[in-house]
Amino acid sequence: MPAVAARSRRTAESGRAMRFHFLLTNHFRYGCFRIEDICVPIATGLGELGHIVTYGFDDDVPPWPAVNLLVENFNNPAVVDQMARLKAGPQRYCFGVVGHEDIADAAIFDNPSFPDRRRNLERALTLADFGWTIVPCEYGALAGGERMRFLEFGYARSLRHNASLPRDIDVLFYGELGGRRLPLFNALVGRGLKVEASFGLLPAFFVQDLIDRAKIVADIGRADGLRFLTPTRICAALHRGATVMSEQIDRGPLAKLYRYAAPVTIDDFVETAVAVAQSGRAPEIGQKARELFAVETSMAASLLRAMTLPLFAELAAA
Amino acid sequence: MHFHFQLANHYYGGLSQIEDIVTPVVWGLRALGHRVTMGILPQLPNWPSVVLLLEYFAYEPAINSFLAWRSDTSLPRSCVGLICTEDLDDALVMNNPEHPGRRENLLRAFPYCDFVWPIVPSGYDAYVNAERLAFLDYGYIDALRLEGWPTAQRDIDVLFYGSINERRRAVMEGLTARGLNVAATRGALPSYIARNLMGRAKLVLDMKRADPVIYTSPSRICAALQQGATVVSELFDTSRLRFLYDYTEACEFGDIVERCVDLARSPDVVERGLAARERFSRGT
Repeated sequence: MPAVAARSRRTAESGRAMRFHFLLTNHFRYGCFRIEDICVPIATGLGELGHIVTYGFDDDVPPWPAVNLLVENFNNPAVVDQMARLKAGPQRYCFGVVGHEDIADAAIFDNPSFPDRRRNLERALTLADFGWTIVPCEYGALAGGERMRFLEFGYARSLRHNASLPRDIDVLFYGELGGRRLPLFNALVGRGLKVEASFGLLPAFFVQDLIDRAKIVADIGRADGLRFLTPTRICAALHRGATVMSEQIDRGPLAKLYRYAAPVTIDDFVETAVAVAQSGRAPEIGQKARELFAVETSMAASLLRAMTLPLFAELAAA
Repeated sequence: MHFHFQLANHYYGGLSQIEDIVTPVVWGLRALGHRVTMGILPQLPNWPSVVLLLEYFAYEPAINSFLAWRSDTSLPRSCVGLICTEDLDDALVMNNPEHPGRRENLLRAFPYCDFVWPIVPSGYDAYVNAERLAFLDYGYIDALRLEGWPTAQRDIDVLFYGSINERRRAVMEGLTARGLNVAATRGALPSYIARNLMGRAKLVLDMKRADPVIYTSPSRICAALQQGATVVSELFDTSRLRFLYDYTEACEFGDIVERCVDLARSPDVVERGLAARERFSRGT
């Protein structure tokens, strides 16, 4: 959070600073807590590039040349309807959609609790000027998907945090426990480890404290058969110097993040976690992984790669 | 010492609204060299660790489990401190049908606490012995210091810090009618958004939520001051919390709109907040 405010100072010095405005009406109110891991690294990377990042809701939609960023989950169509109205009006607006889920994941896009999520995403893509997806799935097959770019999450120096707290939690489950992670949680407790969970809804001040106290952050898939790892989870832990233990489920471009995590399978996770937690080496492993992550990745560089559409040249010149 | 915040009674939605209360205590204790942890799982540390609770026992299971734990003589010794953030006599909070039993359950909890730290000087001394009661004044903490935006980029004239209700909406409309750009944190925004809004604002407006309220919000004022915001506070508190007005542009309810208009147009509006933060850091 301090980084977001502090970075903005530099934008005054840049004549080509753009304004990116997260329009988060569709996530108000508690959903905003769940997308912090998505928004903040993007905001931080944009800030490091000298751009201005703001947040707003409802009618707070700045016109061109501001870029309105909408984070996907449009089960409620209101914000997509708003996009359509504004796009049809006399004033020019620019919209970008940030995708963060696998569009082939039926648990997300064919979920009866969110019956209109996929349909409204498809509508939003046809209206949007561009899109960024943090999971490299098949947006190209959708109308408007040709304007989507893969946004690789990486290191941002402003998010680096050197924890000063004693690492007194052996394993932290980052996310909801659910039926797949809960047995692992219980097994670790049964082995005498101190285990905590972020439960998916704890606010950042709380989760960040838990990460800073954790020897190991467990990155275990929420369900069998997932194709993609969760870049937000791995990156959040790496920035705080925690040792990440990742279930090896991803064979695509995101698998590069496994370089900064200890590999595990669902079957050997408990034994590996016990061994690492009791070895006393977890802090060292986490620090080394973060340094490698910092050298080999860059959130700002990733954003530049995701801004290769002609639209961004036009925005920069506006 | 080890202090452990047990926050399960605020899980889930409530946790999003207590950051301004919890983090100054956490980082204040850490600045004193203590170890502070937070959790929602039921395992609690024994004496000599201190379990800190933040008052909110609106629901029976929360108070019942607390009383059962503290009454169980077979358990090892424990130590509990209770932080109280509300005016005991504020009917909007303590007799609110959405939070049934809040006041009654708080009174039930008092005898089971080793100490109580109120952050508003309500009548806690009527229920808690003096040797177990200590007022907790909020003040400056270096670890929570944040920077706002350069003056030229402050595109929000007035930011309402808190939820918008009828009382605050009247002021909001008055400000908008005077041509100011007004925004609100709406009471439940995560800090990455609230801090961004505050960083963009020339003024942060601190108003009480209802006429009968008699205590200002130290957590709100301190959160804004930590970010160097120029705070316009509604002037109404005559208690010991009144010292916080020294760091704000305090004025009566009826003068808020004019005060904000004048300040928002003043060339030194941002510098006033930065100067107030320096005074706050030296004086608290």
